[in-house]
Amino acid sequence: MPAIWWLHRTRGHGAPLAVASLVFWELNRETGQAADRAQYADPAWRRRALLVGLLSVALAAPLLTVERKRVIVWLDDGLSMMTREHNGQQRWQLGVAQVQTLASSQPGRAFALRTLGGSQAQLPLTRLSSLRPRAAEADLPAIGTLDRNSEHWLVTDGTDAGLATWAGKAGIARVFVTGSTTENVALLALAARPDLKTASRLALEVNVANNGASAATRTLELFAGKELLLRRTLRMQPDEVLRTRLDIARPQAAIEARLNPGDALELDDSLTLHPDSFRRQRVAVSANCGTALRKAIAAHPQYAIADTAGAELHVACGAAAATATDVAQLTILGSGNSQVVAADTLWSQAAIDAGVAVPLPAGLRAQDLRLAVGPADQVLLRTGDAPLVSVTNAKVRQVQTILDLDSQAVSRQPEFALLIATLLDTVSGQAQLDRIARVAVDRVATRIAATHLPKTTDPLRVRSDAQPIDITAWLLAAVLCVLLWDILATTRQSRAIGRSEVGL
Amino acid sequence: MSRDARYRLVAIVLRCLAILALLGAWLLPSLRSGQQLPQLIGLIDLSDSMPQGLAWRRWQAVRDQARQYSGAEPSTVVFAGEAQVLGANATDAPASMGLDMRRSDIGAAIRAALPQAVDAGHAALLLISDGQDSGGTMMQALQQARESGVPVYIAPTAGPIDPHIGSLDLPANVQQQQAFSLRAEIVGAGARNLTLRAALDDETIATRAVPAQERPSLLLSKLTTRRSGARLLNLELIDSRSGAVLDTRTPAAIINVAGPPAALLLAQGETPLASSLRAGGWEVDRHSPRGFAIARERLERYQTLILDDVHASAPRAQFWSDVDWAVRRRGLGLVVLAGPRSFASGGYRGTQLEDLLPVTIEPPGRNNAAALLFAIDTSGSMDSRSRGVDRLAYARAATLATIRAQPPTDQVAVMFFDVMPRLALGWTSAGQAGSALEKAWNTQASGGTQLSETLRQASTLLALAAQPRRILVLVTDGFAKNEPLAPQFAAMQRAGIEVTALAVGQDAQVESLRKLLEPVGGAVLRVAEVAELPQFMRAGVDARRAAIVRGTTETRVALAPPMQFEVTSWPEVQAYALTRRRDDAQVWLRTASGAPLLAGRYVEHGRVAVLTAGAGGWAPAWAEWALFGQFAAGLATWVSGTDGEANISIKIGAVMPDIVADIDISNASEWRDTTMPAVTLQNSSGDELPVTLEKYAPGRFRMRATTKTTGLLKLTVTAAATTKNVFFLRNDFAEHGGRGVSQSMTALQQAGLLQPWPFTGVDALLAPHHATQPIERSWLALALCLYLTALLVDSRGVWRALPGVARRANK
Repeated sequence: MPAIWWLHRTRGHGAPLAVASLVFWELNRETGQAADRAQYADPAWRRRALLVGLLSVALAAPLLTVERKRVIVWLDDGLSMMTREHNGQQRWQLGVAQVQTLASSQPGRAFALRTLGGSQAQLPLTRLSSLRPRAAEADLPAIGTLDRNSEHWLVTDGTDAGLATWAGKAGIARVFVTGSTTENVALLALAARPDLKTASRLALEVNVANNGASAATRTLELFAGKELLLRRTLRMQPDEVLRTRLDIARPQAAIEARLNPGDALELDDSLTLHPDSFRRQRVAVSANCGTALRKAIAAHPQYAIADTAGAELHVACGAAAATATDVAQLTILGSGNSQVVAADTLWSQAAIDAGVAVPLPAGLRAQDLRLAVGPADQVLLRTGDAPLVSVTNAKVRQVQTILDLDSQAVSRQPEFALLIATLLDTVSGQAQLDRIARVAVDRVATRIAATHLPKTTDPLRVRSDAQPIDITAWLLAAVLCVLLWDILATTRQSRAIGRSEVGL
Repeated sequence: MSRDARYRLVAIVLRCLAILALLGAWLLPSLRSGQQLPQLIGLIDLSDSMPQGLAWRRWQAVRDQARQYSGAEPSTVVFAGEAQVLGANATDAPASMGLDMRRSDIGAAIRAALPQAVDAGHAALLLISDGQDSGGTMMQALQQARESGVPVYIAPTAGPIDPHIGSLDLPANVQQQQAFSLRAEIVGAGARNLTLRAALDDETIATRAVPAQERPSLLLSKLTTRRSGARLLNLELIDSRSGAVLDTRTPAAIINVAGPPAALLLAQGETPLASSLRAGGWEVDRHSPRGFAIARERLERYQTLILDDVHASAPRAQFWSDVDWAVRRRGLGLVVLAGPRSFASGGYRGTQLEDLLPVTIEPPGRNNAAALLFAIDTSGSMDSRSRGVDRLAYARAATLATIRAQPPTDQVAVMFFDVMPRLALGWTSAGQAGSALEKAWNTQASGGTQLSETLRQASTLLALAAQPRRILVLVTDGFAKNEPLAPQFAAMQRAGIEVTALAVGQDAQVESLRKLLEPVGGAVLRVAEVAELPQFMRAGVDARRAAIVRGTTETRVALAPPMQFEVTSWPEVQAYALTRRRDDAQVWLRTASGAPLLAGRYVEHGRVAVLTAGAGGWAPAWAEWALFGQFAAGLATWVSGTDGEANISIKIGAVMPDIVADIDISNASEWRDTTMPAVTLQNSSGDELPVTLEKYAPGRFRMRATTKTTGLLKLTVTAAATTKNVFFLRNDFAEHGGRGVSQSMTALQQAGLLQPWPFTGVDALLAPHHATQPIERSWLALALCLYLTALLVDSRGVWRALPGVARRANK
């Protein structure tokens, strides 16, 4: 800076001034350097010094460190967090309220909320008005992968052992434990299965557990729609699981199990089986499919031939059978000519592993076609190198076959019905003959007593200065502005001097 | 233009150049300074499916490139079945490092590297692998990496595709001794001459050349097998010229061969029981018990093991451990038939075998007085000077200890022999014989050995004894082979004299003695270490004096036997081993005195039955009984557990990442699940794996096992007195049969979880970071220089201020 100031003392100041006569300066004896030295520096030196200063700082790659005081609040969204405490609020609400209270006393910090149920979205702390319990185990971030630019807090009720272990290792700085209720009787499972002998009847099973610390009495009620199927009083010791079985005619309405009276955790006091889960699967069979195939489907206790609208499965036949895009389909390609398959017709290992390899009827025929198999398709049955049945495991399952399933001689064999059932099961993705309808909750999730309180002895070392910001760009913009200003000013000055020289 | 004007113009131009330099700093792409390559962490696949060393060499090349752009040394994680963090200092290609090379757990490798990557702040993972994952958690790990903001790059790496066995087509069902086919895909064969060998367990069922016209799919037809049960299909692809094995799939699959149930029979010869079982449709493998051994896994194919009058010392010792394991853990059925060589006489007392039986062996009878003659070899070979061990001293101690263990009602005599016998102690009651022998034992070892005269005199002496049982205990370390002893032993058998011989020393002629004695019901005990002589002598006499009740005995029904047939009367027996029922056993047939004749018991997963009269010489009427065939088949079926009260159905739902099996239990008319079944999951070594069992639905239990074990697994379920086994493969096909880069890598790239590695150079990774490193400092420095120069030019007065310049100006 002194150098710039000094430079601006040695140069001329402003434009030369034209005068009529030098008579007034004759007595001035000063010559040379002394005559050129100004008494004060050109004021432009300040602008130029500023410019050089800014440029020098920009060259030094200045970093601006801004401390981020962000807090991520991990919210346990397990089923037990839905427990309603004595004041009527659910545990998660109490926990979030505790955090909000603390947050309001720390206005400089940013708070974000994340649940453990796999949702990656971060919510502002104040925006959470409702919470659904996670469906599976907590999707905990791997140890060592928490964001080190944030401080991490946890809101939980201390019922999840895995979560407690994770919190101790992951570097949680603060844990808010909420809830004090311990007693809960839970409906663990409601399952329906076709009766072993009569397909029109269902075997029902209800499992109830007393997860509390003291004996409890509940009334178990089972309904099919509005019809009461069972009412039974259950007296249960702590940790006891009672299983109730009954056989019923297959209902058309939903089956619901309820526990009365309800308790602090309402969500496990009732379970409902939707009727779709135990009724026969609707199969739409195209008009050009043969009668043998229709009879085999109609005879299956778990499949029913239905109209296209609302059908869960399609069966399409013929040479130009269209492929459905929105519903699982069995496509039986036909050419009109078929011949008995060779003796080397074998199931693939994939079919055997999937349990769909069934004995084939004698004299089974295949169409004179070549089944096109894509790279993502899986061949299930093959004769020689020719695939006979393939499956596409896309979002909507597609099974294609060139087997001739309209042969009367073949259709009279019991293996034929088994083969049709297997093909339909492959399309639907599960064996329907003994399909089990089940709704259940994890027993561990229904334990509401805090037995696994997390420890926070090893909090994450949060980077206090967060990431530095390079402010060179800002300085550069300023330098450009000052430089333009300097150029303009200098140019104007030069023009003025030029005009003066012309005037002289 | 004046000089000053020119100066001013130059200064303005310099300023403009400074502006251009500043704009250049802002806008022109950066090259090096200020940019950072992400901290690279290489995940190096060392598993078997990777060409050896290729992944490491590729990683070395990447590391060399990365070092040019980054101050941080790339870090290394190697993996196969497990992951190991080597850090930044790994320079040499690692050896196996104890990793399970048959598997590649990509998920584990990613999880191992993630903490370091997150800690680094700006990092990337580079996966050098063929993507053949067998860990099953790769997707979750990749999602974790994405959540953590760590990109994962894939450098697909695979070697040339060698000839190997690809997919298989198999029959739905196979019948024993009926033709079946299977088809194997042969991949990468080229023009090589190849041979495919197929075997079921160790039974080769096909060895076929792979003709060029049958590639890539080779049909093996007209295959047959003699054995039923769950059979392991093993395949080998062989170079026909060199004989080198190019690929193996062991096992490739499990083939369930339907056929009759199989029984393993240990017996001295063809027995009535074996004949009856064969006639009833059983497949019976008969073996001599002497020295018998069988691999534990080969026991798997049998539903029932039958021991027909087998001495405990006859099979190898390991056999009994395997039987115990197979009965308890696998549910092998066991039928034990008594006879002169078994039960107490066969040394069952206190053995693993006795622990399995539904009865305990009664100790030697005390109410059946015997005359015991001890014939002790005093030949020169028994001397301490010739062998270093005083065999005679041990023989003395053994004889005294054995005599003192006998009931006082017994009579005891002792004779020494070398080339001639001499009586040391005449018939004396056992209670006084001990002290009398101590005084009378006065002999030195000398001379040779002559047995024939000794046997003759022993027969004479025993004939004088008043006791109903007469036992000769012969202690010797050798005899002359040319002596005609067989007729003498036969005569002793006819006279009712029982012989137990103790062959002392490693060099004793045990086999010769056995050939002589076993045909006449004698027993030979080999005493390899002379120090064991007292123990062996006592056990031998105990076994000989076993509680055997002789005489015609009526068979009575205690409880209806489990065999499904009607019987009005049961045949009588001529002798039986005296036993006592265990608390948890059932006695179905008994004697009038209540002693068990037919008893059974559940032992963990297995069932065990005993016939204390056997089905041989002690029960001749049984073999001639018209219903014996049905009885034998019924007994074998009961112990095999196939006639249980429940139907058990097992379906293996998934094997990766967890093993999940659905177990359905029912009887003829309804789902049955009142009690939890006993479930064990075992690997091929027989080790049990931890499982959890959940009540899932009416009649259904769901088993889940979280394990990394691969290979052959066996699930055993026992419920309602029924046991069922299921074998299944949890194979490492991804390592074994999958060659080349896995197609799943493409899908993961499309899903955005993996990014292709820029093979053109690591500098491509710098591109995403331009926005955060915008300013090029060298351009800034240039702008500063230009501006300062402009200032100097502009301030030309400084030149005039310099002395020389001022003088020139004044001139």
